[in-house]
Amino acid sequence: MPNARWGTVALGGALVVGLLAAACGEQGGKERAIAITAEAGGCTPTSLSVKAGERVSFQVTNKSDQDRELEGIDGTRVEEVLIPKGKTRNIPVTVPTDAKELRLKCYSPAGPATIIEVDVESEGAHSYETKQAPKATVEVALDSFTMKPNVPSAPAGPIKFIAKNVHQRDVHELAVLRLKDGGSPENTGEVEDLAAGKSGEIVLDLPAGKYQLACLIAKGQAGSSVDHYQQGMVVPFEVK
Amino acid sequence: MLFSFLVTLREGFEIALIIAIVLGYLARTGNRQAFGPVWAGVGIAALVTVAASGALVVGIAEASASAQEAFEGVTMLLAVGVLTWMVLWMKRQAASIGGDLRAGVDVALRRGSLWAMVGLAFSAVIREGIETALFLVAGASAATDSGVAFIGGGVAGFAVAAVLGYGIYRGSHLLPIRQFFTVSGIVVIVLAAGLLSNGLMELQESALIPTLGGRPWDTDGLLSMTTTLGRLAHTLIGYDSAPTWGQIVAYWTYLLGGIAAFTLVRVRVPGRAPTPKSNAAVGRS
Repeated sequence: MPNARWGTVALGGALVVGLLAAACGEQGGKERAIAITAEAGGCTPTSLSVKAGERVSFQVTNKSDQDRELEGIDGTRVEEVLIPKGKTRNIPVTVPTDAKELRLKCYSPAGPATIIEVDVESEGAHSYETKQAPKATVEVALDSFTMKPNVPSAPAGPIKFIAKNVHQRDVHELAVLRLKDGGSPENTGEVEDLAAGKSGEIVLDLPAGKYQLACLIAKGQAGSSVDHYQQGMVVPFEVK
Repeated sequence: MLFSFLVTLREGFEIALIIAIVLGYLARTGNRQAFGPVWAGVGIAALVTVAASGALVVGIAEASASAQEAFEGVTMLLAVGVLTWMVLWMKRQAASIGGDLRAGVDVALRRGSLWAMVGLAFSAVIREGIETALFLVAGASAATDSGVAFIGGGVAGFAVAAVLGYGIYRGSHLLPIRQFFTVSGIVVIVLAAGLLSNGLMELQESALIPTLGGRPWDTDGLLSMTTTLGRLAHTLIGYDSAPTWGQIVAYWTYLLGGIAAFTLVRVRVPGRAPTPKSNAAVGRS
C-alpha cells in the first residue's frame, strides 16, 4: 500500500504541473508601449495602429475618479483588466497575424464605455499613404450624415484629400475605400476623428479604380449612437 | 492556441479543484451515493453554460458587463458560505477519528448538505464556464483561419484541468483520513478566502456595492494581473495587485481566523464513537 507521502506527492505534483504549464505561457521579448488614457469623458485615443504579429503593451492610465476596465470585444482576445483609479496597468498583447482589427472596450460598469479601434497593418501590405507632392486635391465636406467631395473623380497618382467636418457637434472621419472585384473594400487611408469644425488631410497614391469616400465611425465610437456608414455617410468616387 | 489553452486551463482548474474536493470529501465520508447528484449538477451546469453562451453569442440574450460581474460576485460569496460549512464539517470529522485510520468514515449526509454540495459544483461550472465559453466562441469566430486551433487549445486546457483534478482526487485518497481532512480543510480555507476577496472585487466592479475604501498598495510591478501567473494566483488564492481595504480585511480575517480556528481550536464531539459507522443514516444503494 502506498503511504501518505505518495498522496502528498501526487497532490503537490499536480499543482506544480498546473502552475508551470500556466506560467510557461509568458513570452519574453521587446514590446512597443502604446499609451491609453482614461478620463471622466472616456478613453483616448479611440483609434490606434499596430502591425500584424507585433508585440505591444497597452499602458492604460486611469486619470478619472472611477475604476475602469479594459477588455477585448468582437473576438479580440484580450482578457478583462481592472485599472483602479489613479493607477496604470500594462496590458501585453501579441497582435494575431491574421487579424485586421482589434477592438478594445474601455469602460466602467456604472459609467460610459469607449470603443478603441486598433487598425492592424498586415506585414508587407501596400501602403497608399505617400509623402510625394500631390497632383490633385479633393476637398470633402463631412456632415451628419453626408459626404460631399467637391469633385466626383481625380487622376491616378498622389491625391491630397482635405476633409472638413462641417457639423456643429458630431465627430466625423474620412476613409478612402478601394473597391475590388469580389473582395471586401480596402481602407487605403483615413483622416480620423475630426471634431466639429475641424479639418485634416492625407495624401494617398491611388491607382485607377472605383473607390468610396466614407465615414467609418461605428455605434459607441467617438460618442456616436449610430453607425455613420449605415446612415448613408458614403459616396462613390473614381480614380481615372 | 496557447492563449486559449491557458485561459481554459486556469478556469478549468478552479472547477476541477472544487469538484475534486467535493468528491474527495464525499468519498472519504462514505457518501459515494452522492456522486450521482453531484455529477448531474455538473452536467446540467455544463449544458446551461453551453446554451447560455450560445444565446449570448447569437445575440438572443445580452449580458451587460455589470450584470455578469454581479452574478460572479454573488455566486462566489455563496460558494464561500458552502466551503465554510464544509470546513466546519471537516474539523468535526478530523477531531472525531483516530490519527491513522485509513478507511473512510461514514457520516450521515443530510438532504440540505447534499444540495449544498451539488450547488457548489453547479455554480463553479456555471460561473467559470460561461465566461470561458463566451471568450472561446467570440475569439474563434473572429479569425476563421485559426478558429479551429483556438477552440482546440481551449478544449485541451479543459482536458488538462480535468486530469489535474482527477490527480488531486486520487492523490487525496492516499492520505490517511485525518491528514485528508486537515489538508483539504486548509486548501478550502485558502480557496474560500480568495473567493471572498474576488467576490467583493466583482461586486465592486459591478457597482452593486461601493468601492470598499482605498487601495493602500499596488504590487502590479511585482506580479501583474495581466500575466498568466498573476491571473492564476488571482483565481486560486485571490491575489489582487491593488485590493481595497474591504477586500484586505475580509481576506485576512477569513484566512487567519479560519486557519487558526481549524488548527488550534480543539473540538470535542460528544457521543461520537471512534467508529462512526452507526451514524450512516442516508439510504445506501
